Amino acid sequence: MTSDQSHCVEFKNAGKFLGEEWVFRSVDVRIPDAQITAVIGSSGSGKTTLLRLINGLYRPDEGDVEVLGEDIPQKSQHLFRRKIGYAVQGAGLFPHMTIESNITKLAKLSGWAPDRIQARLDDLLDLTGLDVEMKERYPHELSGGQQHRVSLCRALMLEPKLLLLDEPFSAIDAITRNEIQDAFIELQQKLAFSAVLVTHDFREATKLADYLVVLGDHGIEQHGALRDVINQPTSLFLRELVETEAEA
Amino acid sequence: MRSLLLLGIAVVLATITAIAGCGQKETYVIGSKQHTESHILGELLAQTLETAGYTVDRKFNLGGTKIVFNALEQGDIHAYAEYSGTIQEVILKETRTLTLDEISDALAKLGIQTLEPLGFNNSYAMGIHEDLAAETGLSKVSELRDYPDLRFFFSHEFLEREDGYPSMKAHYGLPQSADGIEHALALRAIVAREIDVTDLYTTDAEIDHFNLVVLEDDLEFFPKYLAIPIIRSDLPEDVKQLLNVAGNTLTDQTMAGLNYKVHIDEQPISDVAKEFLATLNVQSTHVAESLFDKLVERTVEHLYLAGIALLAATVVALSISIAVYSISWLSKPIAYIAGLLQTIPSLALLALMVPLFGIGTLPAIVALFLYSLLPIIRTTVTALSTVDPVLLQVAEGLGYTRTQSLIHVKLPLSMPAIFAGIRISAIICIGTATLAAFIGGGGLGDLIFQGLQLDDTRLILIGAASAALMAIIVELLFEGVEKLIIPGHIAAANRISNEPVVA
Repeated sequence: MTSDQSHCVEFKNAGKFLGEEWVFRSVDVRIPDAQITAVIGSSGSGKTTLLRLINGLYRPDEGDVEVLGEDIPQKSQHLFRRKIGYAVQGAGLFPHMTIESNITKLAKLSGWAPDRIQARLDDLLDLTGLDVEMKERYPHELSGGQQHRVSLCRALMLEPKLLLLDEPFSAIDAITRNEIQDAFIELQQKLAFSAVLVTHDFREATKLADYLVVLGDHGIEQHGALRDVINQPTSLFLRELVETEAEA
Repeated sequence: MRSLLLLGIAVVLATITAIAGCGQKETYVIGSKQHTESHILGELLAQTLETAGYTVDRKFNLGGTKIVFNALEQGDIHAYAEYSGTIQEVILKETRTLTLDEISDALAKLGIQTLEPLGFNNSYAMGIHEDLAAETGLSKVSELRDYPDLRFFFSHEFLEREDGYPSMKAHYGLPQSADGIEHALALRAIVAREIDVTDLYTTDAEIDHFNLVVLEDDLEFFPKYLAIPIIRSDLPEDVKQLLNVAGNTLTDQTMAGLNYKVHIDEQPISDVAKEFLATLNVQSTHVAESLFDKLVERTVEHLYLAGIALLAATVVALSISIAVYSISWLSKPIAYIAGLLQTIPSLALLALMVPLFGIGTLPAIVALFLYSLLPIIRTTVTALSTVDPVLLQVAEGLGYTRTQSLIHVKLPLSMPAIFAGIRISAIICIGTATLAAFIGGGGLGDLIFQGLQLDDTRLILIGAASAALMAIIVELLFEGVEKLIIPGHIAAANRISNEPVVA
C-alpha cells in the first residue's frame, strides 16, 4: 500500500469489544478505492464485525473508522448507509415484496423521481442479466442464482460508491456461483464501485479481489494487493491456504 | 410509534363519546328483569308512556335485581316494577319487615320514588287441587292442621330455606312433615292427586292451568312481595302520574291471568299488556314486533356491539403491541394483564362494567373490547418479535429507518399472524356479545334470554343460530380480505411455520 493511493475506508487503530472479549484490536488499514477487497480469515476472526464497523451497524470501541472520507455520523445513520450498498449470504430478499419492490423500495423512500427509478432498475436488471419480466414476481419464484442477482441489484440501486458483501455467494451451487462471480466482476468493472467482500472461500477471494485483508485471532495479520500477499504470505493462516491451494 | 398509540387512544375516546352521546335525553327508559311478570309490568309502564306520546326505550331482560336497581339509581333507566320483599331484603338489606312507608322513605334518600302498589302480592303460597278443596272445604293455611294425613311435597329451596317450611311449620303449628320434589313434577303430581300440598307463587300461570286453589296465608307467615313501580324522583309530575295508571288494579288473579296468557296461550307480552291497559281505558297503539323485525333489529345491534368493540380493540392492541414488542420487560406484563382480563368470566366482566358505565351498549362494548385485546396483542407481539433477524439486518444495513423497517418489513411479514389474532377476537366478540342483553346492551342475546324466560326453544335456537351464522360469515369475510391483502405464499408460509419464506 502506498500513501498516495486513494481509499474508500480507513480503519485507524480500531478495535471492537463484543460479549466478554475483544474481537480484534489495533486494526489499521486503508481499503483501496474502486477495487474489490476481500476480507478472509478463520471463523471467529471478526470478518463480519469488520464489515459492520464500516456501515455503522457497529461502532468501534477504540480507534476510528472513516468511510468515504468522513467519520460515521452519530445521527441519521440511515442516510449514511444509503451511500453504501449491502448484500448478505442467502440474498436476504424480502419475501413479501415483488422483485421490483425489493430493488426500488428505498429509492422511493428516498424520494427518487419515478423516471429515474425506472431507468436505474432497467439498467441494473440488464447489467445483472435478469429478465425484465421478473420484476413482478416474488423472490420464491426465482432460482437461487437469480435471487442473488436481485440482491446485487438492490445493493446497487442507490448508486453507492461502496458495496459491502457478507459471504454473498456462499449458499449457492458451484456452477451458479461461478456465473455470478463472473457477473459481479463485470459489474464492478463497468460501474467502478469499491467493494468489501467477506468470504471464507479462498478461491473466491483470489478470483474476485484486487486487494486482500487477512484477519487473524487478534486483528489483521496481513494486507496488501492480492498478488503481493499471495507471493509472500507472512500470515500462518494464509500460508496454509496458499499451500493447500498449490497442492490441489 | 407514539403517535400511532395516541391515534389509537383518540379513536377509542371518540368512539366512547359517540356512543355515550347516543343516550336519548327526551325519551324515557323502562327496565325489567329476566322473568315474564317483570317483563309484562315493564310493558305496561312503557305503553302507558307511549300512548301519551313519549318515546320509550325498553331495557328489558336485565340480569338481576342489583343490575336493574343500579341502573335506576344511576339514571340509565327511569322506572321499573319491583317487589316490596325484594326491596327490603336485597336492596335495603333489612331483616325486619318494613312497612310500605318505611320502604318509600328509605328509597327517597336514594333519589327514588315508589308509586302506588299495583295491587297483587307475588309471594310463596300453599296450593292444593280444587277437588281436594271441594272435598275438605280447605281455604286457609291454618286449617291444614286438621288434616294430618295430607301429603306435603315442596320445592327443594322452600324445604330448606330458613324462612321456608321449617319456619312455616312452627308458625302454624302444623303436624305434617314434607319431602322435596321438582316444581314441575309437583304440579303434575298434584293434578294426578298423587300429592296434596305444594308451594307456589301466588301469581303463577300454572295455578289456573292446573286448576289449583291457593290457601289464604291467614296467620301472615309469608313476607309480602307487593309489586310496586319504582321511579326516579326527578321525573316530571305528569310522567309520574302516567306511570301510576295501573296502581291498585292488578289482583293476584289478574296478574296470574296475564302470566297465563303469555306462558300457556303463548301470546306476545306486548299484546297482553296492551289488552290489560285497554281495561284501564288506556288505548295503546303499540304493535307487537314480528319475529323477523326483532331478529333484524337484534342482529344489527349485535353487529354494532361486536364491530365497534373489535375495531377499537384492533387499533389499541396494535398500537400497544407496536409500542412494546421490542421491550421484553414490558411486553410480557402487558400480555399477562391482557391474559388476566380474559380469565374473568364474560358474564362477570359485563357485570363489573355496570358500576363504571351503567347499563346499555357502552359497558357491553367496553367489556367486549377488553375481551378482544389479548388475542391481537399476543399474536402481534409474537409475530413482530420473531421476524427473521437476517431480513431486519438487511433492512437496517441498506438504510431503512426503524419506522420504515417496521412499516415495510416487520408489519407486512407479521400480517398473517395479526390477522389470525383479529379473527379470533372477532369470533370471541360475536360469541360474547350474546351476553350483552344481560346488562341492557341488546343484541341477539335478547332473543336467547327471552326464549329462556318463556321456555321457548324456538326463540333460543333462532338467537343462538343467528349468532353462530354471523360468526361463520365474519370468518369467511376475514378469509376473503386476507386473500386480497396478503400475498398467497406469505399466508401459506405462515400456516406451515411461522418463518417467512427465505430462499
